Amino acid sequence: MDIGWLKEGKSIKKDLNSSGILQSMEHLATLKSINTSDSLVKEDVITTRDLGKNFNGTQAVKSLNLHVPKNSIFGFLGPNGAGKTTTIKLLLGLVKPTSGGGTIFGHDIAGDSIAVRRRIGYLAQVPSYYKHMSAREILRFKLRFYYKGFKSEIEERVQETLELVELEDKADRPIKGFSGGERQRLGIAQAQIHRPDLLILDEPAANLDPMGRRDVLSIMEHLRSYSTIFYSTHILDDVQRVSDTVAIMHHGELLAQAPIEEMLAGSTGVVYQMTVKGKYSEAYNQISGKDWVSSISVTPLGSRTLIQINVNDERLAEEELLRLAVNHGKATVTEFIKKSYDLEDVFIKIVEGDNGGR
Amino acid sequence: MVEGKGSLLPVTGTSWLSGIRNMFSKESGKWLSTHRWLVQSMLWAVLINGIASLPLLFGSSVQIGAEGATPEVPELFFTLMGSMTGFGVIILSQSTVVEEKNSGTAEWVLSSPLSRESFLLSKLLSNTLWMFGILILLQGFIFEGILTIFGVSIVPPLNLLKGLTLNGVNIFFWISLSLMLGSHFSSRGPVIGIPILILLFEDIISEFGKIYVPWLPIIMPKRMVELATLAGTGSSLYSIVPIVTSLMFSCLFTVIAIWRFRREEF
Repeated sequence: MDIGWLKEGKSIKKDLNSSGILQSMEHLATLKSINTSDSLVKEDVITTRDLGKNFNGTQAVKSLNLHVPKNSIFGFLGPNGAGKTTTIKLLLGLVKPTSGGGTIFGHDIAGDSIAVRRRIGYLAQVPSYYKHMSAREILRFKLRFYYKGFKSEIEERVQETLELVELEDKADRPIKGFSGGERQRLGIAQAQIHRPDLLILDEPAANLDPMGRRDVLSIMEHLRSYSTIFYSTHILDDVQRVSDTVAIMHHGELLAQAPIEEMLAGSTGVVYQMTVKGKYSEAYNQISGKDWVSSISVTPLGSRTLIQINVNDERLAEEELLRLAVNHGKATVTEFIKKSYDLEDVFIKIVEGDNGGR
Repeated sequence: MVEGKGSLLPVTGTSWLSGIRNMFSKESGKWLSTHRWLVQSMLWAVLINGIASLPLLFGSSVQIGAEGATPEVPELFFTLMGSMTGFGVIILSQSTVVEEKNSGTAEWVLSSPLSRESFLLSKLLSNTLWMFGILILLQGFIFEGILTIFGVSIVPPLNLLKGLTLNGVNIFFWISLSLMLGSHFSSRGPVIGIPILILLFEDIISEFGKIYVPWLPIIMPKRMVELATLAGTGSSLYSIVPIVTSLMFSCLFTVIAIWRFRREEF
């Protein structure tokens, strides 16, 4: 893929550095003991304030306060029906809020929607295009909402974009014959042909085979150099792979929002898993009596037993845990691992926690 | 947006007509790229001129070559045009908005900097121009050609223009009505059904309606067809009220369509 032009993207930090503004701000920040440089880099592109949407008595989005930092790949997670698509449509002005509001690049999402949309590229969950048009015609049509100029310049940009998503050999065929992956690649192409400052993608990799998913994620990773990407998904592996910030939504409410490392690190503490064979009660008693053990759970697995130990002092646990298990009682330890949590665990824990609270 | 390379210039502005040029171009392209223009041109040539020229082929009262001997042929032509094009534009316009709402293309295109007013107006303008061109103007020229071929005196150009223009006002009424209904409903049934019921039962509506609204008959769409025929055949018009009310209703339908479409959620 030829993506040379994508390197044109400049980060705000670089611009500020070159103009000397950042140094001045950092000096001021030192004086005031606040991390101003960090807040500059993480300037919000999308901000919502108590944004809500009610559909005939059903609250699809409840008092949403979202902050999407500039130049981030923001994963917007949630199970089906969580309110992700409604939120996206609220941001685009396709649906009107019933409470609260928000801004994108400082423009009001409800009152200044045209100005907002001029800086956004959008891929719908189920993209739909005019069937009588070819991929080239669709891209040309979309680009002309944003740019005017000589036909040759327009055609050059269209061709560049077709090459980016590897659709150049199908550019002049009617899109009704396109596969799911090709349609999705066309979707990404039309969303970013005008090189928007913000890309909003609704389930970009849903319904794609592994190859299609890989292609879409790869394109997203390339696009991050000049755009903020806000995308909804329920495929958690993808989020962990490409996102740097994550928000989790459930039943129309925002349950969590943080950089992905923060969410993974601060969510559950450290957990060790031990599979034992035989009588384990003595070992269990010894382990559960220790101060550094936060909780312990037991799950029978046929002739074996899985013991999960949540600890609050990783160093002590590493030194003592296995010894306690081996030296007390008649149980044989067949497996001992430190469980590494992934986003799926965090997601399920947060969503199930929310369900439990209802 | 990242600055355009070379001579690509960003389109600016956030007015209520944002994006109308591009959308209008796309709507017009739909007529050209799908050969819809060709199919409709041939279809209406057969329906209007084919039938209107039957007396020239078979009629005993027509004295071919005698000037002014064929007043019934232009009258037939304008009557056919007025009564048939109403149905035609209703059928051709029925899916204009509804299909886009249901297929998701409206959602897609409105995620661009295209105002909702531009979305509707581009459809109204494009459809009106193309339908006027194909169903009215082109047929008028073909008709003059047929009269010439048969050696019959043609309709005086000014009369022809008047008759065609008034037929244009008539189809504008039906296109704007379809647009308004399309912005209100999400299925094609009411969008095609309501105008066709009005067309079919215009006389009954007029008869019953005048009990409560005495001036109703004069503003019914049928009057426009009568006026177009009178103008086309060189007769004087008995009133201009139907023209004024037809245009007023067309504008009202358009305003209501925009008002409703601005509230539409996708």
